[in-house]
Amino acid sequence: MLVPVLFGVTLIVFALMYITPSDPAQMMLGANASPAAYTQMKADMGLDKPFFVQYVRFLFGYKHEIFGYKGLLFGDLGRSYISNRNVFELILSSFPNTLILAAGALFFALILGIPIGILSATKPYSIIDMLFTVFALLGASMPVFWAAMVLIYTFANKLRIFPAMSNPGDMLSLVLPIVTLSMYSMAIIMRMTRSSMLEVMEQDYIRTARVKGMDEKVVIFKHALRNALIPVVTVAGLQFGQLLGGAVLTEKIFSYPGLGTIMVDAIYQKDTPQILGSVCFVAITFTIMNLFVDILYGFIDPRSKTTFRRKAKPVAQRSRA
Amino acid sequence: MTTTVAARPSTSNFSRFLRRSGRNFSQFWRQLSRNKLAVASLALVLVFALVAIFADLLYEYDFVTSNSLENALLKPGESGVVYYHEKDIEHTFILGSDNYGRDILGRLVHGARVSMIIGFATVAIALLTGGILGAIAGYKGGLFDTLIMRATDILLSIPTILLAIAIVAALGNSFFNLLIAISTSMIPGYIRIVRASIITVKDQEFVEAARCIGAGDLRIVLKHILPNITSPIIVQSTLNVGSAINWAASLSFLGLGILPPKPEWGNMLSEAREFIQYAPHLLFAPGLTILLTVLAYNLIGDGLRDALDPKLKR
Repeated sequence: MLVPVLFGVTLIVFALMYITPSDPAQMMLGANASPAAYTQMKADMGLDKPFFVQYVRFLFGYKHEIFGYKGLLFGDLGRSYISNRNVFELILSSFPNTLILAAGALFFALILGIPIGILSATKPYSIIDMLFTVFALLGASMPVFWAAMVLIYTFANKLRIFPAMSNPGDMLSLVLPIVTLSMYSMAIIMRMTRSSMLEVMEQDYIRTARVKGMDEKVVIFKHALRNALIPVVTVAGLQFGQLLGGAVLTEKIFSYPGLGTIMVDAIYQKDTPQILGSVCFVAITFTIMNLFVDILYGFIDPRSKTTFRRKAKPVAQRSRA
Repeated sequence: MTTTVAARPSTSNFSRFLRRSGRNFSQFWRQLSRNKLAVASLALVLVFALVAIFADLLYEYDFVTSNSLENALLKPGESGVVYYHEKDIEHTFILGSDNYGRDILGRLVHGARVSMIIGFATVAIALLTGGILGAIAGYKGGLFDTLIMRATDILLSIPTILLAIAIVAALGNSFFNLLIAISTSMIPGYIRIVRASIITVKDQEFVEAARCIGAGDLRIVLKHILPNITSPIIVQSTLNVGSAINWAASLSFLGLGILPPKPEWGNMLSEAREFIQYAPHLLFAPGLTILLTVLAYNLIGDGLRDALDPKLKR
């Protein structure tokens, strides 16, 4: 399952780069190159070959003393046309920075989103619930880059609490990008927790627990929350993947040295190996992340496991209450 | 044929809903109008649509794209003398002017046109392509289903914004390519929705009945299945118009969509970046416009979902 998807992803990204109207050979030589030198350069870079030859080389490597590389399967895509640094070394050095940002944002989104979601669900259609509903809708509708600019304007330019530029070494400078990035995920997690909690609260076993005279807190946190969190975990996992990819805008605005900045810069400079490497890297991470969420789902919710193996047992739910 | 349609035991919300309301929208409207936020959003969207249609009557396109540096960074409400078409004219900048002395309100008005077109065109393209592919996958099943769903999985495994960026980067900067990039990112969603709804409907008796009296596949899908699966598609499309506007602004902000001096909400913010410290109106005017528009589409989408879903009727 994973292999054909990864294969397809690389094929799409490679095809996109193949049809890009940039000319790396011309770029390497400059505008005044002779036609002969240009043809030679094109041959050296392996760009004179048909699409599938280039794609196979991209996967399995290309032998050449200057432009050669071991191929995507062996984690080597050669050097950047612009900085002449090894593509994957550059990606691996900037990926942890993006990871810090995405993990921070997810943590922030969960730590605020889940309690607010529970609060909204325990008092549905109250003023608090309405307020947070509006808040969640705003969070989901706000363009990320605008949110970032407003935060910079307020906290960096006016109040001067946090710096406008961000780097992974400085904790204080990480606050604004993390808040920016987490906004959308927080809204999603909040809404998901709320609706999932509301659904669970209507179940028979919750009524049973209440009838038994249990404390409302125990009912909410021990009986309802455990079951309500299952879809939330899935959403959180999927959001983490989106955060890794979606960090592009946030990183760019805060000049944060992450994978997103590298990717966008590479796109501006038409640095093909760098674009190929970073987009494939993110797509692969994203796919693996999603697979991981699927596996995790089986562990959190034993019911889904039994569904896969044999007919689902209706007893499972009763035993939980 | 009419009797068959009227008597079919459909479980779909939308068609049942249509029939019950005597094939008019009065009940639907009553249902939707209970949701005050959705109605207000609908009004806002209509106003924006009118503004977008009549943009040229409000502000001339040349006027909002030509520089007049002596009027740069005016505050909202200030007026200045603009040299335009070889004449000096007195002009009040209702929302102020940007760093090139262009009228911000005028640029927002013309940007509305761009955003509306992008919003509706991308959804139309995605709906058509995704709908057809989803219908084939769901209705035909088998190899078609496997192939189309694998392709969908592949598209879904690239984060949406990244896919759009990569497509614009590959095809080059143009309005048309922006449309392609955004709609491609939406297609997987439509394929999934249409396929899932078709699978739930296609084995029901009324489809079988239609097949028995000799209806072809195309007729069955278009006349019998399609009316039964419209409600999730309508909801998804409304929400998608909002996200398309958001993505278009984001891509333009990165310099990968519509480039200045053409007025677009995202590129207005991109240009404003260096000046927000001195002229915050550059930041708030386009930003709030995007926020309100996207919010309105999301609220309408939510309202439609509630109005079209009989389970939630109270």
